[in-house]
Amino acid sequence: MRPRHVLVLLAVATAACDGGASAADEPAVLTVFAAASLAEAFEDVAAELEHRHDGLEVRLNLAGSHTLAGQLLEGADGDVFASADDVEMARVVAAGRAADPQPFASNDLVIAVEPGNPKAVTSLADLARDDLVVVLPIGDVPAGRYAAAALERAGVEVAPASLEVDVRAALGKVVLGEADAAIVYASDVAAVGGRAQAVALPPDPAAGIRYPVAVVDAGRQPDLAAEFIELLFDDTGRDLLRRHGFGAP
Amino acid sequence: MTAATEPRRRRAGERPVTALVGLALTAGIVLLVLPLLGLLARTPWSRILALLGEPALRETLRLSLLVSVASAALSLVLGVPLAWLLARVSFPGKRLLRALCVLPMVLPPVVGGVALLAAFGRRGLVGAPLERLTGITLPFTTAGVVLAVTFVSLPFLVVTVEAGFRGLDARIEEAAATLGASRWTVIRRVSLPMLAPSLAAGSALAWARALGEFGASITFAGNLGGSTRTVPLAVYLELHRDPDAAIVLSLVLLAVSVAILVGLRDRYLGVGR
Amino acid sequence: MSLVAEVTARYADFVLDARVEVDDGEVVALLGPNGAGKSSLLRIVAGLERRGDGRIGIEAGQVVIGGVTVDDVAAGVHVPAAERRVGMVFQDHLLFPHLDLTDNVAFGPRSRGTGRREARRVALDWLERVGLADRADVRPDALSGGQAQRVALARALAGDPAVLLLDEPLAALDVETRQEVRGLLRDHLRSFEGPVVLVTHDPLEALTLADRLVVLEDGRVSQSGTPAEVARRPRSSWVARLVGINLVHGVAAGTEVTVGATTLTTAEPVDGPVDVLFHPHAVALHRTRPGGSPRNTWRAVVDGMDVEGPRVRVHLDGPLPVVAEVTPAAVADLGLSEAVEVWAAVKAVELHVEPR
Repeated sequence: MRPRHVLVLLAVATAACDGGASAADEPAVLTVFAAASLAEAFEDVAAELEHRHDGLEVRLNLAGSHTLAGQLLEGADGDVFASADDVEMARVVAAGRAADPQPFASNDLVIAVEPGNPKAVTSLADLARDDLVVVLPIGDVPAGRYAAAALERAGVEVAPASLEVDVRAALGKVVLGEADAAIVYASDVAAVGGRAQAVALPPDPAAGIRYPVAVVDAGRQPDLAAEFIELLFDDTGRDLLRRHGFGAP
Repeated sequence: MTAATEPRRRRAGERPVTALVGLALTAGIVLLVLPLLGLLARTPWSRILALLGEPALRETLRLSLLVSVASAALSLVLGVPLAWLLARVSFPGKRLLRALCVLPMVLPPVVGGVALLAAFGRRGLVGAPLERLTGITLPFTTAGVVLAVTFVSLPFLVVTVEAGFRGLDARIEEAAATLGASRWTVIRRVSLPMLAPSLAAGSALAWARALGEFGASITFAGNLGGSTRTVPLAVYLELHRDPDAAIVLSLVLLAVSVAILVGLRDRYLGVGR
Repeated sequence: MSLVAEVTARYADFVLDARVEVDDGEVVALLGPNGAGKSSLLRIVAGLERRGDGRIGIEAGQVVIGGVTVDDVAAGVHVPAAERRVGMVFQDHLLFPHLDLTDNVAFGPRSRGTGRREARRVALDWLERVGLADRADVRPDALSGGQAQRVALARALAGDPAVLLLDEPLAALDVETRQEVRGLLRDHLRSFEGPVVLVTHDPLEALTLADRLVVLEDGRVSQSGTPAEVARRPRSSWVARLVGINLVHGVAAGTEVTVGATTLTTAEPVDGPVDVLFHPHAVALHRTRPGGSPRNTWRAVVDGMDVEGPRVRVHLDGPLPVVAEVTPAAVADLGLSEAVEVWAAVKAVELHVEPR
């Protein structure tokens, strides 16, 4: 055989090898599926966990809870799933991909507006005004469901200019100045700093925005996954969540 | 003896190469054909008619048709003079202009959407004064969708029609002039008819591209059923809601695209066939 | 009506500076070597060379067609091509590929405002006159080269032009077709009432179709006259060669003429700048220097040979670039071929000297 062919075979053989090395040599990777609104908070939690484990890499898969649930249902590899509502978590649990979800944080809905609130938005009722361009998260995602429920409870009918595919996109439209108002999470507004202002809504016990988290069955790092979740419940985790605008579960 | 061994030695050296090439070919064809076959395999044939009858689906299809046709028309109006300019006139900075015309083809569509917001959004270079003076806004409107999809599909028309212009013998236009045809008559009776094949091919390509645009459209114009939710956006949403509907919509788009490409009969590969 | 074109135009590699006048009903052949500016002059008359597009244009002069000034640089007049009543026939016919023959020929009248039906009637009439009425509905790509040129002629004439311009109309055709179309051309050029300018590099075309020849060399008119006049008294080497004669320029002092570094002895005493003309068959070739009676001899190198029937034309390079005509037997005897050195000789009585 020509030397060239030997090299090719070697390369192919090496690429095909996997799992041969022991777990201690390989850097560990923990994959966390998290709702988009948890982005900043979970980055901090992930950094904390990485700090505690030398060589650990925490990969955050951030997207709308609906999309994440869909991915898990299609068989995607993950270790932890943190959803923005119970409905999506229930789908994943029902498919047998996760078990024993626990709520670890709560959130509030707010109306995001331009800093300074130039259009003087003060309540949900204002969103029905003709002179406002309003965007809402689409009903497929948790934030969209919460927003629709809140509007219905308040008896307000809104004609949105767009139904964005995730809550951050809705907030983005306000930040860009394309929309005057959007219904998003308090934590989202906290995440963009001074680029948007939150108009608080009256406390609504019926809202029930809870974030459940669960270990994904058949994930490859069950111990680390459990540790990540524990972190969310201890003082460090709670502190981080609070700083990012989340409430206690 | 030599005659028998030499050809064999040569063939032995060629075999691995032929095998590798064959492998690459198979892989290539599989890559292209398998996803389409997969789509056909997952199609809910029994539900197709029911799904196609759903008002929301039909609304989406109608909107996509309206938007793509309007976009193709706009591309024609804007693109033909541009193609003429690039093919016939020399001026400083021409290379830059041509690069700009082709840019939307290589730009990620979402980036295109962001750029469009920067120009035509409510705070945009043109959008802000537009709103201030006329109260007209483009984002979140069907017109905005047309703008966004035209941005990404116009280059296809310009490139095709420019090639068409280059294929046009300028001397024939001179002959027409000596026969008494005014500039406009030459364009109307000679240049445009001779350009017709490349115009058709360019429009068809632009139309197909406009039909399939997602990134720029959702970023610039948003997502609302009936006014801005075109087929690609609907597919994205339906994928997690009702996958059957997503597949049916995808199939429709696929069938339309294949019909266009086949109908063009290789003309999009280069004018003059 | 007539045509007067007196123009100066600058091009990348030469300057065109010529005056051409053509009367009504006259056919002038514009003759000359390639690159002399013949087509350019024609395009200027047609109005196709624009001024001010940066590249080329008329620098000075005027063009008057039928008494109407269509170009006058000094006065800033330039009538666009479409408004000149010019009919033009091109070497590559340039018929409109997407129109049938009738629409092609009707194009001129229609562009000038004639209604569709009337224009088609005129077109069919012209197609009849060029013998292609039976193919009125076909597209140009179905025609042969000769047929296409006939249609091109009909198309140019159907527009009722004031002047007819033809740019090497037969050059792209094969020899037999050329003959056929030439006959048709002659008839139509004869019957055309306005001035006709025919650009050609083929002397046969010029001689059979034209009333007058104008020779353009290097952007300038080197000679003008009837074919007979030009043939009898060529005034440049190119024309002489065209007509089949050798011509060299020299300075005469009595019967001695100095042509460059060579001195020739002639039979007629003349003084001053002269043209020396002699037939190719008067040039005798030898391998060694000929002795005997004093004759004009010089060394030359064979630069090429053409066989023309029973004679061979040998092109000679050297102090006097000339053409000699010998028999094939002589070629064999002398062992002539490219780059062979020979001695050329001409008798004094064979040299005709004309004052320049």
